Amino acid sequence: MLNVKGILAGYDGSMVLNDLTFQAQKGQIVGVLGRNGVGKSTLLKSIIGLVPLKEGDIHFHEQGLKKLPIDKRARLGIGYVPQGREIFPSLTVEENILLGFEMMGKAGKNKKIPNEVFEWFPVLKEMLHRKGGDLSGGQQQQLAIARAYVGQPDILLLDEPMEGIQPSIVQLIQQVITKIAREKNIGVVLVEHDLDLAMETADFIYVMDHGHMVVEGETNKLNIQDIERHLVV
Amino acid sequence: MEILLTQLFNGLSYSSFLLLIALGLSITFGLMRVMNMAHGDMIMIGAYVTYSVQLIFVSMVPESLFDYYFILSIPIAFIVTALIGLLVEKSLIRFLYARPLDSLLATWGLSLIFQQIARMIFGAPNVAVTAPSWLNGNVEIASVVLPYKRLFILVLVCLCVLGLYYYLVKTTAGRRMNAVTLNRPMAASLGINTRKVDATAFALGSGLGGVAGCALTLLGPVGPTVGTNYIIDAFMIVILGGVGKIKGTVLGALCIGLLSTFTEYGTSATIAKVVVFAFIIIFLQWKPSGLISTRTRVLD
Repeated sequence: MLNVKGILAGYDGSMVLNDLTFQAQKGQIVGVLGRNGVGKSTLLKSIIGLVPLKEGDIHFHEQGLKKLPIDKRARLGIGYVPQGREIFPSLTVEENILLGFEMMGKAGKNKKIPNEVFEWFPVLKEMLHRKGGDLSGGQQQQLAIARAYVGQPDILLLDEPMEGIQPSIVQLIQQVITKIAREKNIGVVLVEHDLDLAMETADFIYVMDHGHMVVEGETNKLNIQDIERHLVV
Repeated sequence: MEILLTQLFNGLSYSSFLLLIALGLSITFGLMRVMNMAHGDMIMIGAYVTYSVQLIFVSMVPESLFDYYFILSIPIAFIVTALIGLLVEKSLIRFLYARPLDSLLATWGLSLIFQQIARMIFGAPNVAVTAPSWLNGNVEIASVVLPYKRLFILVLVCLCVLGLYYYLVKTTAGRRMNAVTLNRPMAASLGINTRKVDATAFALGSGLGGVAGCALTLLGPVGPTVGTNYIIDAFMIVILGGVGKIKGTVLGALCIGLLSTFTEYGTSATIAKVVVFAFIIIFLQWKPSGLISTRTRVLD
């Protein structure tokens, strides 16, 4: 479904991604592991369009994304949860979630927030009319996932969704990610620096180093030592 | 006591007029970080549109209907200036996003062009707009004289603020505009067409300037440079209020309007201006982000 082929991308002169190839399918959780600064976030940004491609191309549903602006990519069915959550602080939780329907274009008009969102994240229901900026880090993370989910994307890009969050919420988010993939048949790209968390959640693992993939394979067939070699600082 | 009340009313009246100008600026500056010096000329265009509607009524419409021209000219001024705003956005402003200094110069040039065009069409001397008869006269409450014209402007501004508030808070388009103001890349990542939002906002802001121009014809004669008198004050209000916040802009307009009328009463217009500017400078030292600023819970 998502096919990243030989891309070169980065900021100004320095290319962070170097000949990177990567794939993700519907209903599959793909973990992307790597140390800090190897280009994991840049990969997600280049898929949604926040970082321009220099070479190579990204295909989503057989459509080339290289020339498409950010908003058009989102409307094709790519949901993005950035590392800083980036919820809108002065809008209410409800307004934040409703903005998720924008990716459905005209079909998203007057949509109601689906019930499963509040089943997964009960705290969002309690906080529905509070400002997004009043939420704690963990709550903001849940809100960001809910916002990206309601527009019914085909793929969800999650940038370290479990970073800096208390253990009970980490578990909750792991469960929801699994449900999103299994029950809703949505592809999930999970960028993570924690090996254990990635191995627990993902079906397929990529390990990144120096801007490209160095190890890849199904989670249960991978050799842990192979991965750890690239994660040790 | 009467003097105090009269000044209070004058201050409110002046504030409301400034507010109408500042609202448009606040939207465009908050959303696009573009300093639109040509906004003052939207006021001028709005005023000339009112003048033109009046001329058309005089020559083509039975005299008994003349008094209605003003009601009609408000939506016409809004639409005309909104369309001009849209054209300006599509042809110039969109190349200047997030470049306040360049946009300042470019829109200043644009402003001069607009003024020259107005001079070519309507001539350099000021023209006067005859207020409709139902706006002549005043009401006296507790021996304070309230002219209908100023009351009308007050009501008009209240309607504009309420309308804008409704648009921004209750409608999907308004929510989209808020999202882009707060975080442009994230808004785009959610599928919002930010270009379209920008163009709409600019047209809306210009249209509000046009309505302000309509109101201006009730206060005095109209000339090609009439807008430039107000643009600086309007910018001050936007900055004092806190960028991109309607509530802040309303408070800022009240502050500046009241402060300048009250100082002007005891002294002169020049001293009032100095006092207002000094007040703003000192205030911004204390609160650099203005009266209303967005506070966010910092992530742990």
